[in-house]
Amino acid sequence: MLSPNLVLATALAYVTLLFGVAFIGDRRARQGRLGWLRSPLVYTLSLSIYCTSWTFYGAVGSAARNGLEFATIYLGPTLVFVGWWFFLRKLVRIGQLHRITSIADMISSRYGKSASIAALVTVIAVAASTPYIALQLKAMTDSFQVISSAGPDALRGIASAQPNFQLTFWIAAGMAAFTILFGTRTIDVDERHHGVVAAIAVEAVVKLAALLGIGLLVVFGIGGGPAEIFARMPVDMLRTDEVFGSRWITLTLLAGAAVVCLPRQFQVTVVELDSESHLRTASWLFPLYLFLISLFILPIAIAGLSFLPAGANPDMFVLSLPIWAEQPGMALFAFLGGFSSATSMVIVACIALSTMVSNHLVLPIALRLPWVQLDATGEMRRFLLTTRRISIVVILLLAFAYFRISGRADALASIGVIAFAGAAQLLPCLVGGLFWRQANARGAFAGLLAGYLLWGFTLFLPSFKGDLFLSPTDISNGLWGLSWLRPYAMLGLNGLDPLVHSIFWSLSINTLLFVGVSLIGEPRPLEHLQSSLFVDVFRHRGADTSRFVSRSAAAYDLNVLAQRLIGVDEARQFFARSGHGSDLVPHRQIADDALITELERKLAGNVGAATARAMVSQVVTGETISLDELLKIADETQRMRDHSHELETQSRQLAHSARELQLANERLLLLDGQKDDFLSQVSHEVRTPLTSIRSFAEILLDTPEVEAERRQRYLRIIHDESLRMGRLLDDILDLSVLEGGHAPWALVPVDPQQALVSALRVCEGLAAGAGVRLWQAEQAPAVKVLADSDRLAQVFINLIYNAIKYNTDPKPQVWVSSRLDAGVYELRVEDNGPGIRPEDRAHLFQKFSRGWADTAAAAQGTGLGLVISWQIARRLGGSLELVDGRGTGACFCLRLQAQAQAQAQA
Amino acid sequence: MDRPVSLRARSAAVLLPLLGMFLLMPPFIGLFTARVYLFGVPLIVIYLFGVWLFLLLAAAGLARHLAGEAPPDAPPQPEP
Repeated sequence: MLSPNLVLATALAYVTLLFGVAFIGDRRARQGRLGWLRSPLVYTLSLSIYCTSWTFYGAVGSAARNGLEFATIYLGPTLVFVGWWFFLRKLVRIGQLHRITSIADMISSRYGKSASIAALVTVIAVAASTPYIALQLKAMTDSFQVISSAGPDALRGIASAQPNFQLTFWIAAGMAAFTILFGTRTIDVDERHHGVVAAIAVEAVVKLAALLGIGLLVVFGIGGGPAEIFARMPVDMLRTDEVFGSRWITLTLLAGAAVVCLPRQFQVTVVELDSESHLRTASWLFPLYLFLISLFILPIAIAGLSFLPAGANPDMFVLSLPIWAEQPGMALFAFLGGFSSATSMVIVACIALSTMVSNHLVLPIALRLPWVQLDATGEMRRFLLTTRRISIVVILLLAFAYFRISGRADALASIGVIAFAGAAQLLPCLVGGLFWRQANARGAFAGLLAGYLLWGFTLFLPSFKGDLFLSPTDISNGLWGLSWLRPYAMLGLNGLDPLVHSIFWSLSINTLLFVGVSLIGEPRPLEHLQSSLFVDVFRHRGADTSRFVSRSAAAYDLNVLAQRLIGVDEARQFFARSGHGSDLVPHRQIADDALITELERKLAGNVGAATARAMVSQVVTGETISLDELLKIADETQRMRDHSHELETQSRQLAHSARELQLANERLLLLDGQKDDFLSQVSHEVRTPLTSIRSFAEILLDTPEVEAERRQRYLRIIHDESLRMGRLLDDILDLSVLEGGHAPWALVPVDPQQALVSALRVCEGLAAGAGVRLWQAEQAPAVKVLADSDRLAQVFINLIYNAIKYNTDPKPQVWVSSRLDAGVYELRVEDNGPGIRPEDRAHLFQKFSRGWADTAAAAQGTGLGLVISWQIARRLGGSLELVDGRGTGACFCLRLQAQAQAQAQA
Repeated sequence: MDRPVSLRARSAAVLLPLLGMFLLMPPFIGLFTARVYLFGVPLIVIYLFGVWLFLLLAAAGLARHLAGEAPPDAPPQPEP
């Protein structure tokens, strides 16, 4: 038990420290010496305003009541940040390009800079955040009362019967002062608050250190080690049997949505972000922060349950455990940790909400009211600052009011979840807006409104337990006594946890309306443009929209407009940079589209896109949004995709053609080589007989006195050689006819056996002369093949002739057999000669190949017989090949397609 | 800074949260609810914090491969 004065003094000292840090941060930023202020570490620490006093005190309470369920609140953001590449990166990129000032600005910008959507989002955000801020006030009040109370109340963690509303009020007032001082000192470029960020970074360290300190104290000081602590765990405290159900999924989803959609989270994640690369570090450093925060939650809860008196308030275990352990210093540190987590949340939430309220609710209305004069230089800036300051006070008053009304609503956790569920209503139109081109303003508005109303009816209003709008009878029996309008059982949907029930109805109706209405309507041109800029943000470089929007305005009028908001000096600098000079004369210079667009973007960085557009629209005339250009960018992606696909196909085709061409070229080269070979071979073949003819003819001419016998011999040689030459030429001619395939053959059904018989008859003489035994083995049955009988006989004769002629065996034999195999007529001619050498087999059927090159008889052949036979077989639709025979000799096999049996028998 | 991000790193960046969801959502997480203690700590607690640690370590490893294209820090100049 500590004296209230000591606690108060410590808190004030701490607040003074924060003021100092914020002041230094602000001054350094103003001097442009940002240094560590723009480091990824400070960015990550600023994100930790996610961990409010609801985490600091409430997570332990949640763990004591619902076991592991508390972890969902930190697992959702972990998943979102671990998956930053997919979603957060896009969000942040858009936020930076379009100088987004708040979540309301983000959503309204996406949907055609719609002022009504911005206003609706602002209302939702305020409604959802108020209970959350109230929760922080409650936590601060409770913790102050607990730590400074004496006796058993401190241990039981129960503040005296009545919350000290006076204390709460002064805490709220202090917060308002701090926020106004550092959050609305000026309208900064891009709405950054470096001083505030520095202060909340310090607070992030304090609350983490405090929670870790308490955790270490509990585990190793009080408990005696992790195993001992868990040994004290009440049976079934973790509730592992029931915790992993629909609430687990819903809460994880909610937490993931909240870390993006809560206005204060959006503020630190997107608006205060300095460089996109910080997000890369935060993607793991922030989950690590959450991990460390959660690490000791369970041990603290267990220790609280087992050491503190029965009935102690689990939401205050963090504070009452060090008091129980009689560690007043530690208790004070814990108090400061809770104080840090509450103040940082309240400050940032108030900044974010006041920005939204002033930009999207107050200023648009003020601009329309005739009696509000904001025309003087800098007048609008002063107006905005005043509005923001008032908004901060009003928001804190609202939160205070909520706290007063719902003072008896018990657990911290349930209030936090209500805020999460409210913020989650922004998720469908935010995600849809980033990834779905078709999403439009009407769909977004319908979805948001329905989700908001359902959230209010099924979760927010019933949380007052009958103190606000809904009476207890309404809650239990349904609105106006209609049983299907029961807040916890809409349309009679019973048996669900109230949170799951509310999320089911609000998010599903929200999404359905958003998608459905978007599909029905056509987007307006500006929506179309913004949709394309947002969805395709990584494809368009920059946010320059001047090529789509054409309008005209006098530069002088624009200057006046700019001065109202950003002041004389900055406006002059702006116009000087854009090349319009600083001395603008009315009705003289006309601003181009680029200048107007740039100015609108600059203004949007202060007052939000919707209001900036409304302001610029007051002075511009003749705005047209080029639909052609729009269609172009809308189709750009598709065209790029088509184009790249086309290119790919073309390159594939090209590669294919190139390959074919190369093959063709290779074939041509081969053919060319063959032709050259053929020509040289032909000339060689022709030259040999020609040489001998000429030499013998010369002998006969030069020596007329040669004796008759020799003359006779020489003449015989000349005769033989000329015959051979004639045969050679005939063969070449024959071959060229065959290869060219010019004249079609008249193919008629012939019996191959008859052709074989006549071929054998022709060869008999030769065989007898060479002493070769000609065997006729197996005989095919009567069959018909489509052929030219003379050509067929030519093939047979050639094969048998070769077998006889090149057979060098001392007992030469040749076997001729034929058979019918599965409709194929097959003729085999085999000999027992030396056979074909393996290396010759590959080009056996080429011209002048002469497989029997080393036989003496080779010189007499033309070297074309086999080629001709092979060509004939091919022309007859069959094949001729060398197959494995029974011995060493060559075995040639001719196959021809036999005609159908019926025809053959006919 | 302006080096392209490999397709593998990008796929991993999208798949990592999905893997996390699979590991942390029912029914899969229900496999670890048995009343088993490791070093005196319930298995489910070790599993939950283990998956958590794995996710953030994987994200840290991945972040180095996701340097990506330079963000446009400077506002783009309007086209003339």
